[in-house]
Amino acid sequence: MPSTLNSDVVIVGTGVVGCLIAEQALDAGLSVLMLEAGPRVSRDTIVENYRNLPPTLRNHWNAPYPPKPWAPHLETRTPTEAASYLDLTGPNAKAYEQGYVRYAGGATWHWAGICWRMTPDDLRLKSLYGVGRDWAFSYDVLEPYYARAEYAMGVCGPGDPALQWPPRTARSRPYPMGPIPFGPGEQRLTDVAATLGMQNLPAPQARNSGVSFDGRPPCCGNNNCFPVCPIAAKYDAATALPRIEAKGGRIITNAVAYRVETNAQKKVEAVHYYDPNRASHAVSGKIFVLACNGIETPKLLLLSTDDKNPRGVANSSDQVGRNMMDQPKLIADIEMSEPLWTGVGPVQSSSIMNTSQGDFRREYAGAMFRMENMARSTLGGLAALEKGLYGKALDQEIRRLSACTARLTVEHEPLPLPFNRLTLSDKKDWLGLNRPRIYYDVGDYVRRSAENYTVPLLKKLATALGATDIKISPEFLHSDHIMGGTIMGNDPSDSVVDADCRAHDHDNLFLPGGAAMTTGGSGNSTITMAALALKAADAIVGQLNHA
Amino acid sequence: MTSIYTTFKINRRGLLLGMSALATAASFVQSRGAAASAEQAHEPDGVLRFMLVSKLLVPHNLDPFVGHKIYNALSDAEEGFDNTVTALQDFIMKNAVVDVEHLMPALTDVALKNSALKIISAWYSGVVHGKSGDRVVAFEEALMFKVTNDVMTIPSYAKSAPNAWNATAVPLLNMPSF
Repeated sequence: MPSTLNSDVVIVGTGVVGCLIAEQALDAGLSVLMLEAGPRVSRDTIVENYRNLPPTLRNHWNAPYPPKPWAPHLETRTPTEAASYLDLTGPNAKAYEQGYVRYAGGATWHWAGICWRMTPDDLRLKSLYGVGRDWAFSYDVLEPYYARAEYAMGVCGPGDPALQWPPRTARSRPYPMGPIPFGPGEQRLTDVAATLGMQNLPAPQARNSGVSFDGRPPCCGNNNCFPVCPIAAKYDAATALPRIEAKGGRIITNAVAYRVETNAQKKVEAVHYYDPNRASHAVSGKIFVLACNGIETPKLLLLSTDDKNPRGVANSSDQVGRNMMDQPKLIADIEMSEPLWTGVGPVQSSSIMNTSQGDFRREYAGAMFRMENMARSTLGGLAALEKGLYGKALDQEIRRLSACTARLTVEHEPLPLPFNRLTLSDKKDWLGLNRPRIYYDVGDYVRRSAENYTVPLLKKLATALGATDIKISPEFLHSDHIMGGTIMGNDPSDSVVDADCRAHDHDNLFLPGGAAMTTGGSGNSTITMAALALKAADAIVGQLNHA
Repeated sequence: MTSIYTTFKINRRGLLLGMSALATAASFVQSRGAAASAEQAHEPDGVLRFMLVSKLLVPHNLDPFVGHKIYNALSDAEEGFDNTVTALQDFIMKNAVVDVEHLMPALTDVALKNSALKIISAWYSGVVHGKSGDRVVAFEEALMFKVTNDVMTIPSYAKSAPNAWNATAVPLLNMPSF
């Protein structure tokens, strides 16, 4: 028999965005109920899943997270598996193979923890360069929320303004912790890049540096931030779940939201979900927050099509599911004559950001360059064994291939392009719900950047590092930063949410997170998603207090 | 150099009762307790023979517990694996082979050579490719990690105390002893 639950604030999704809003609402005295499509799995189970993977699968970041049948997410161990959920199409379909986890805690389970703020210029692409869109507000509006997000998640970073990002921009608060030290590889990259005018900065990262923070231990360099930090030194939303419950929040797992119901006054009245037995339940509330990532949120809105919402909920603009963004990535696998020695410290701990800014953005995309800092012993070991070596020669080759190889990456700033669109596939999932279909084309802005700017620079950087062999990926890949599907703007006719991530069409529906981002910038998206979550949380609390 | 086999100058049964084997057995029993001991008692010769062959194929400190798991996994993966190990052992004894560098070029039997490479691969990678998929037999004990462990982290294991690592680059030639 259908049941109806009720709460002041109903949040769909238990990732970073949902958890930040839940805590803010609970702290303001509101009741909170969270729905999570997937299961709640303990950290030690995920670590064991990882360690028990064959070495060839350990770089498949989704492999330690087997999905439940009712909450599928992308799996990549085989091509068949990779095609079993996301229905991808278009010239750059490969660049939208987005990895996210439908577990309680969401994709922060296997994020890198990197927290680059967007710059003031990143928010004004249209005004400055005549491309993309302008955000609904300026950097000054976002800055205090960035600072709050950095404290909420525990972001460490440099105190020296010359090493901070964005450059020459005031911070309202220092980072809560100092930077994490470089290992030999990142130091070498920093020194070499400087000779080319590329500044490799210590990354602000949601990892406890030298001290405990927020009940989590300091990073001990386990070099396993993805697929899972074994000690929770890196922020992930799963660490917030017990705190949310202690504050009175209720979390229902294995609850797959499939319909948002609105009334004649255009207010959301309920969210309906299926349990694993395919039984339907409804949750009513005063405010509804869809924070189930940049793919699942627009999918849920489109699934909610009915007589009152013929194009889907919140979609009078026809922009739901359009403008899908990510930073299209190219990688260079290089071999060097001298050792670089990655694998000391976090798997990512620095990036070159000054390549993302400049007047050239009138013509082509800016980009972030970085080096993967993961230990390469497994790659070196497997490659040396493949050669049939043994004895001392085997040991020497493993050591050489581990130390003298590296992966450089370049991630390009995307533009919001309406034809990059998520729609409902005619293919269904285990529950009978339409799978997400996504058309993706990185666009000429990115292609021109790769051709004229980033690939030549990538080769220059590799050569300066002493590369004797450079293999660049033949096609664009994904960065797992899902953005744009419920785009923010001041004009309800061409955007989905307002400056507080409130749906233009429904004033008690909030769609915060990556999907709301107007442009993507070159850096990782999570800290901006978190800042938008806190801004939305203020609006939610204010709205309910006024009510 | 003297082969670990020629030192005994005894037949195969005698070899298995030799000091090296006994030391291996003692270490195994001591470190892994009664359950492992019972399993070893059930099939002692095969495992001990496998460890002796492994010590020549992989000239490092080998964990007998990992060896036991590799032996079981390869026994499941390859029909007649015991016979293969025996054949390798016979070849080593007959030719008084002193190390893996001399053994592998001398192994003209392709099947035997491939089996030797599989044993080496299992010790280094920690995985055995079986009939029904891959079987992981070791993670942190996989020898591929030991080769770089003076610098590189074994993923998911702590590198050091908080923030206690640094940017010092170590020469490639400083091979760790393991």
